[in-house]
Amino acid sequence: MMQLTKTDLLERALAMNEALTLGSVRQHELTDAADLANALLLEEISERKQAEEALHRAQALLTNRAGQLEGLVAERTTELSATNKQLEAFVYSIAHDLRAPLRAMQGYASLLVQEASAALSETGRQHAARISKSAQFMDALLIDLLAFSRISQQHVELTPVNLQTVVESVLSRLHEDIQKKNALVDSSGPWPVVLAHEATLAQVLFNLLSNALKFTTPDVPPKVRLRAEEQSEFIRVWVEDNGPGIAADHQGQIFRLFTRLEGGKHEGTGIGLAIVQKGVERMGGRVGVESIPGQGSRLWFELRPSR
Amino acid sequence: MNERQTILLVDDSDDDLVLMRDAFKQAQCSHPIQEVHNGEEAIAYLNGEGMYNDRSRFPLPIVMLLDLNMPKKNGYEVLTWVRAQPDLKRLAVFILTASLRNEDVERAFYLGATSYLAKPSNLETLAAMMRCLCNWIQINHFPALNEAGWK
Repeated sequence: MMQLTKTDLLERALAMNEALTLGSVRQHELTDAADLANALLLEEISERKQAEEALHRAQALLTNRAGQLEGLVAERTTELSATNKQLEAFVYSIAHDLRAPLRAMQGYASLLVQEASAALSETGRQHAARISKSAQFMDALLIDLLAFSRISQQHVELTPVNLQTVVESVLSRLHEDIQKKNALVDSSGPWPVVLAHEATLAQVLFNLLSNALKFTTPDVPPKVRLRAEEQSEFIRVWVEDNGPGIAADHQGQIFRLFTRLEGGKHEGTGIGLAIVQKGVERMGGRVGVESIPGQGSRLWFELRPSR
Repeated sequence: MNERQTILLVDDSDDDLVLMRDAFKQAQCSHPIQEVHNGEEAIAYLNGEGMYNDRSRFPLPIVMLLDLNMPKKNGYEVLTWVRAQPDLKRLAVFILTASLRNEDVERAFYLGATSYLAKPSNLETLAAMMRCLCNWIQINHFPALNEAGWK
């Protein structure tokens, strides 16, 4: 049989079909029809075979690529976690090693005032005091950096944590500060149990409360309210103060690392709220702020309840 | 009654040793202070090796303040060694280090530290800490350094 294209075959099959329907078929035409059908079938089979082969090849290629990709991902993950570990060790040792000379600076400045006080003028004593104060501020920065690096890297496992216990321990750690500032702290509860990493949660609450005590309105005794609000899927913890408040266009920035809104007025390191956000995120929650300047700030974070 | 007993400082930083001496002075602690500069010296002192054999000059301490990060045997090695000595195993060992790492706290207590103190950046705070230490020495009941009294 001469080589026919698939379209030719189809056309002829259709013509044959018509002839068959009309009943005007002769013997040789029937043979032709059978040959045609066979040819069509063979054509179809060969096409299917080719398609199947192409599919197999594609599948093999895909499996191969997937394997390569998996290997690549595993390799990169290993590299990344090694880099992370190195970075952690780097940040740790920098912060750690920087603290030793700072201790000496602060200590000797103190000794200078104590032991050579008579030889120093009033200005000299003030200079020594400034050295000491700056060294202490840098130490606060380093401690916060250490905490930020730790909270970003450490293994965080969530367990049921009683908020009341954490609130009480944070309040007792800040007891001296609260008394010194003459602050009124309301934390009467009730406090639910949340899913959290206890040390991280304590650090988050500590930073929020110490912020509320730090950023206050002059001549107004600080009032802080801590409370938990049960929502459908989350527990929202509020830390509300009567401080100066935060302007709307600054509210988006406060959780960013090294953001200090008050210039040099307050002794913030600009790391405290970044630690809060990072800590809450590591526990699968969110943070936020509501504030009207002059009417205090209300900072919140959400964690899942323990049921 | 414990006031005249020696406190042994183990620290490789001369600056920190100067500040610690001053902190003890500010805290009005009357304990004699002895200093060594690394883990090997600490072990030699406690073991009474060489010049440390003279216990009238270098008495066994009532408390050892032990830095962790030191050359020639670090604080962990000293602590491990102390707890393995039958005649020293109950010595009060206070870790005094710059490290704020929780792993270090856990490891120190695992190895038998009596207490863990982090070096503050502020001399006044260090003095307050040393005042607490001296008060603790006064109110604490110290056992014999070996366990003979119990066995």
